[in-house]
Amino acid sequence: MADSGARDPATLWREMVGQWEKAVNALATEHMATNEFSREANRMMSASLRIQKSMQAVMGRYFDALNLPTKTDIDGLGVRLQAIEDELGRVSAAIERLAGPAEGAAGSVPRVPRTKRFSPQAEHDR
Amino acid sequence: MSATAATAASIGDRMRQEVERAFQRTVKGFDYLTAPEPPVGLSPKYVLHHRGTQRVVHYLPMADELYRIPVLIIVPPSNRGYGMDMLPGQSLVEFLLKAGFDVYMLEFTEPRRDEARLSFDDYVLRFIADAVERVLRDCGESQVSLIGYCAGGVMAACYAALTAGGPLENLVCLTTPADFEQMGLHRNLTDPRYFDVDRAIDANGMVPGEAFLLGATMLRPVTPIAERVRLWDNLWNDDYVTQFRRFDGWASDTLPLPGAYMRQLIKELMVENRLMKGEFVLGGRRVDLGAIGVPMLHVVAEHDHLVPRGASQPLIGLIGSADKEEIVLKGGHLSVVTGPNAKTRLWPKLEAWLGRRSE
Repeated sequence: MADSGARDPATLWREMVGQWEKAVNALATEHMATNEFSREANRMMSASLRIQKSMQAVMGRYFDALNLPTKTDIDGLGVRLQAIEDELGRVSAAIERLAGPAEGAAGSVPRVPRTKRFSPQAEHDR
Repeated sequence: MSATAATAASIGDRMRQEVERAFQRTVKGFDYLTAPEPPVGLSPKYVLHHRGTQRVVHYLPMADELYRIPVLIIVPPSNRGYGMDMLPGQSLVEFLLKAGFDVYMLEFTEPRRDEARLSFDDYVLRFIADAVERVLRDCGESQVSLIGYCAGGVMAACYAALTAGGPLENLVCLTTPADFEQMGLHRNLTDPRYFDVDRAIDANGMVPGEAFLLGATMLRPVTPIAERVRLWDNLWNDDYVTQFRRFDGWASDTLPLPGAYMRQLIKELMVENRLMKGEFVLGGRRVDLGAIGVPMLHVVAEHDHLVPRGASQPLIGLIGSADKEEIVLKGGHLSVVTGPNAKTRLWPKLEAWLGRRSE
């Protein structure tokens, strides 16, 4: 049967895909371990970042002309929102301390006894 | 029947099977293209706390009796938490719940732009510390076990080192790197001779999830093509397609990362290898993994392409605890934790190790 399996074109094709994947990945990894690859990859990334930065500047001027908020404006709002969240966190922590032990944030969470002992047999049966 | 006749019949059967599968591929291929993303993260839960990018989730118990010590799973900031709760019957979270653990998870949502300043210090000393405090308050216990996956494991180990004598009872690290000099391509790509990390991060403040995904894909550049070929080959198989969609969806569902966190990860961990050298400083204090005295388990994947063996192997040696163990299991970076074979390889071992230390 093993012999007939080896001649099965579908099986052969699947094995071929696996071998191709392994071989090309190995070759690529070898190439990517070189300094040349590292230099070129980072050169491409720097170029992409330069384009991104100039696009941001152009978009900033565009939004300004349309009287729309820029990323910086939104970031400013985010900082204020964070400050409000921080304050809320402090208030809710203070309330929780005053209220005593929690009943579970969902309120209806069932309380289950925390008495379980480890049983190798139960582990085996699972 | 002669051997020749048997072989001919066998080839005939195989041909018939291939024709049937080709037909099924056509029918189900249409379903694949039109069906919505399958649901994930289905174990019942509620959000205990959500502030900014930090979210603490509590899963509802699935056993009649729980171990005394709760478990807090920490996922890396680059990935969503549902990877640990992929689908019923194939979920680490569900397995732990059914085994009698009280399970919480610290996961991260997409950080806002104003959170670009969040650093490793924040993740370890604010988010983990805060999550631990909330878990203890919620369940009424004074001790907790941490399970950290990948970068979540690095953060959990840092927390354990900086809070020795605190509420931590057990530490489990899953596929966690320690020696970043052995991180292969990632280290090569961040070589400071060619890569200006400050310029790259300052351009945007955040590191897009796509950049992180690209880095992972580059480690096995043709695998995504081979995976698509295998998907086509298995389109007739509903189980395969469901698994593929969930795992592929999770792997490509990467989150943007705060610039400050990434700057530290690249400069201090990847380039200067400070954690390994014992020179990593968080909150003004040196992270000495030798200070970890609680029981520790490190699970390593034999075929982990993201965290090579050389990078994960030294972790166990750096831990100060007398009760520590490393297990190497067959599988890849994610599959070892939540793949189809995890239920027979990792999970029973995890239950046995953690169970007897959680009473």
